[in-house]
Amino acid sequence: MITIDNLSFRYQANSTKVLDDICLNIGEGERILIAGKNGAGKTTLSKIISSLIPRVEHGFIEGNYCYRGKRVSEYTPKEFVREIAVLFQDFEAQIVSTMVREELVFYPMNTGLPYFRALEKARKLSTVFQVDNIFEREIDGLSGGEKQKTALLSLLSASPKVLILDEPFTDIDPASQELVLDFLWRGGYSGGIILFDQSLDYHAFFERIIIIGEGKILYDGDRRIIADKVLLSQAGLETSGIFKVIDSGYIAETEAIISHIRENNIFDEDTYEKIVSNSLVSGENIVDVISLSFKYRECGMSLKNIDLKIQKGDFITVLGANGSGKTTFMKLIAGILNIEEGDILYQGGSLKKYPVTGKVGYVYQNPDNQIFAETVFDEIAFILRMRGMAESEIQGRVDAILMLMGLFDQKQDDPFSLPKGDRQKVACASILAGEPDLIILDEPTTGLDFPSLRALMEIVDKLNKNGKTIIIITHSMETAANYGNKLLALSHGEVFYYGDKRKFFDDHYLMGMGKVHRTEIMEISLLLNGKLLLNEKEFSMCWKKR
Amino acid sequence: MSAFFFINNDSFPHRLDPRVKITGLIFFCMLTIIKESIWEMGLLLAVLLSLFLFSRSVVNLKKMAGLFMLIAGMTFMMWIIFYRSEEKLWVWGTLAVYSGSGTYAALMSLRFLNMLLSGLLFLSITSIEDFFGGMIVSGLPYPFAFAVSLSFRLVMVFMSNAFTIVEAQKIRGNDITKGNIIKRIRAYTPLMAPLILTGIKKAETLTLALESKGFSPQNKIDLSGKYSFRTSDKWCLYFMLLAGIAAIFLKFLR
Repeated sequence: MITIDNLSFRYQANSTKVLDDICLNIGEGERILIAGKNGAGKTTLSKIISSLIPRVEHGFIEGNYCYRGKRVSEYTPKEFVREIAVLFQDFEAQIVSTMVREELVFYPMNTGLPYFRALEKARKLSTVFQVDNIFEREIDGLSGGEKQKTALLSLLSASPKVLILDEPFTDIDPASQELVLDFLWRGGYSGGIILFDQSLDYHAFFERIIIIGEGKILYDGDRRIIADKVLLSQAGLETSGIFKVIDSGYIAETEAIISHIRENNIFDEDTYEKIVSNSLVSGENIVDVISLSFKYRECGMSLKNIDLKIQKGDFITVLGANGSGKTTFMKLIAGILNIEEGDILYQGGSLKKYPVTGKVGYVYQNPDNQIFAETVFDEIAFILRMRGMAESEIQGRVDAILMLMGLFDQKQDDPFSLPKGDRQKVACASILAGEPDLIILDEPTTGLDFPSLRALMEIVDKLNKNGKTIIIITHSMETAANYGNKLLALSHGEVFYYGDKRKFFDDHYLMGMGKVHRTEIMEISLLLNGKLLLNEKEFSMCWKKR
Repeated sequence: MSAFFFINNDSFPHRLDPRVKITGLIFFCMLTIIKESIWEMGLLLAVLLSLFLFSRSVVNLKKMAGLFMLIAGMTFMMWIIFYRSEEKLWVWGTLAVYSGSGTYAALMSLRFLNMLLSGLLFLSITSIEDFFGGMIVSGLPYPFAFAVSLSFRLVMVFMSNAFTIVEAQKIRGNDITKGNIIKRIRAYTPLMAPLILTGIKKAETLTLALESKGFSPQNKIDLSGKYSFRTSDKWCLYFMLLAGIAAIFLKFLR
C-alpha cells in the first residue's frame, strides 16, 4: 500500500540530510512501530508519509513515494486526507476548535460528512473511549492528557485507512493508554497504524519494528530487536523492560524468562531486606497543606480537602489519571494559582500572606514557555538580575549551575537553537539559579529520548542528594520506579495515597485507583518469588549472577 | 484561566441560533451609531448589562471592566478637549473647553462602551464554531467565514500562550500584575520574545493542523441538522428587525 524508494530529504539545499535513502514497504492494514531518538528523522518521515511534506512544509526531496501504486503528488489533498491521518507530536497545536464536540466533528466534516452524521460518530467514539464527561467541555479547561485523547479521537472520527501516531501517549495516563490501544487493536479500528516513538515500550503490540537513526533505517524486522543492547545503544534507545537486566537475547514467553533468571541468577535475601527496610527519613516540614480545596470557575475541575506534609529532602513522584488535579495542586504549592479555601504553609508561613516567588521553583513541561533570553547564560542569570544581584556574583553562580547541568560549553548559545533535552535543562537551570529549596517539575521527561532523560534525571537526583526537595509529576512508570522515595497519588481531585512507593506498587487496589500499572521488572520480580523489586538497580542487586 | 470569552452556559441568549446572535450584534452596533441622545445610550447600556446578567456572563464583564472603563474615560477626556462649539466656557493657554462638550463627551464614551459591550456579549454567548457556522448558514462565502474564524483562533492561540508565559515568568520573580505602570511595562518586555516566537511557531503548526484535518477554503461544509430556527429565534429576529427599522425611521424623522 505504501511504497517508499530511496527517499532522502533535507530542509535546506545545503543542510544535512534529515532522511537518507529510506526504503520502506508497508502493506494494507499493517501495524509498525518506528523508534528512534530525538533528531533521528521520525517526525519528518511521519510528515512525508502523511504528505504534509511537501504539500504544506517544504524542503528538498529525492526518491519516490507511492500510495496504492500511484505517486502521492497525483492525489488531491482532499483524497489523501481521507486515506491517511496523522497525530502530531505537538498535539495541542493540532487542536483547531474550542470545544471537544466541535473538534471531534471537524475532520469528518471536512472530508464531506454532514454534521449530524459526524456528531453521531463522535458520540459513539467518546462513549467507547470513556470521555463522555468531557464531550461538551471547552478545550481550554482540559488537562494535557485529555487534550491528547481529544486530538487522537478527532482523527479516529474520520476513519482513516492509515493512522500515523507521532508519540501519541506522552501525556496520557497508563489506563487511558491501554484503553486506546485496546480499541485500536481489538475494537473498532481495522486500518494500518504507524507509531513513531522514542522508546520500545509498546513493542508488544507490533509484529514489525523499525529502528531509525541519523535519518537511516538501522533495523527493520521482528520483536527480537528489543533485547539487542548493542544496536539499541547505537540508536540511542533503551533496552526494553526485563531485557535491561538479563543477557539472554530475546525470549518471547514470560515463563521462559523466569526459568532463565532462576537458572542463571540467585536471589540475595539480605540485600532485599536491606532495601525494603530503608525507612523514610523524617525531616522538618517544608510544606504543610491544610484542608486545601480549589475549583476552576471555567471548567469545574476541583481539588477536595487535601491535607499533607512535605518534608525537607523528600523526592516525591506524583501520579494520577488525566484531569485528577496533579498540575493544579502543584501550581497552588508553587504560588502560581491563588488559594481559595484552606491554606498552604511554606516553612511555616501562609502562602496567602507570604509569596513564595523564587523559593519554590516550577519547571514547565514545555521549556519554550519559560525560555526567552538570547543566550543560555542570560537565561539563567535572569532571576538573579531580577533580584538586583551584582554582575560579578552572578557570573560565579551561573557558571556553577552551567557546570552542574552540563551546559557550560553552550553558555553563549541561543537557547532556542538547542535540542529539546538541552532546552529542558536550560529551563531547569534557570529555576535552580534562584536557589529554591523546593523544585517542582511538571512531566520533565516528556518528549525526551533515553540519553536526554537519563542525563536530566541524574541531575535531579543529584540535587535531591544535595538537600533539595523535589516533586515530579509523571505518567511514566519507569520514572516513578527509578526515582524518588515517596509517592503521591490523586484521583478526582483527592489525594488517596501519600507515602512509601513500594507499598503503593505492592497494592493492586491503590494502583487501580491511580489508573497505573507495574513495570515489567516489577511484574517479573513478583512472579519469581513474590518479592517486589522496583527497578533495574534493585533487580541487579538482589538477583545476582551465579 | 480561560483564554477566551465564550462561557459555556445554558441560558436563553446562549441557546439562540447563531444567525440571531450575529443579527443581534449588528443591531446593537447600529443602535449605538444612530442614537444621539445620552438617555437612549444610557438605556442601551442598561439593556446590555441586563443581558450580561441574563446570560450569566458577568464574569467576563468583571474581567474586562478595567480596560473598558479606561477606554471610556480616555474617550470622555479626548472629547472634552477636542469638541468645538460657538461658546467657550473655559480657556487655558491653547486649550479651551466649549459649551456642550460634557454632554457630547459622555455620549461618545457611552457609544464606545456600548459597542465594546455588544462585542463582548456576543463573544460571551457564541463559540467560534457557532460564529463560523452562523456565517455559513447565513449564506456568507466559505473563504470569508473561514478567514474570520481563523483570525479568532489565532487570537486564542496567542492569548493562551500569553497566560502560560506570564505564569512561567511569575515564578521567576517577574510578576507583571504587580507594581506601577513603569514597573509593569518593564516586566512585560522579557515576555515579548517567547510570546512572539511560540506564537509564530503555533500559528505555523495551526496551518499544518488544519491541512492535516482536510481543511480547505474550497470545502463545502454540510451543517444540516446543526442549527434549527425555533419560534423564540423568530420572535427575537422580528423584534430586532422592527426595532431597527423604527430606530432608523425615527432618526430621519428628526
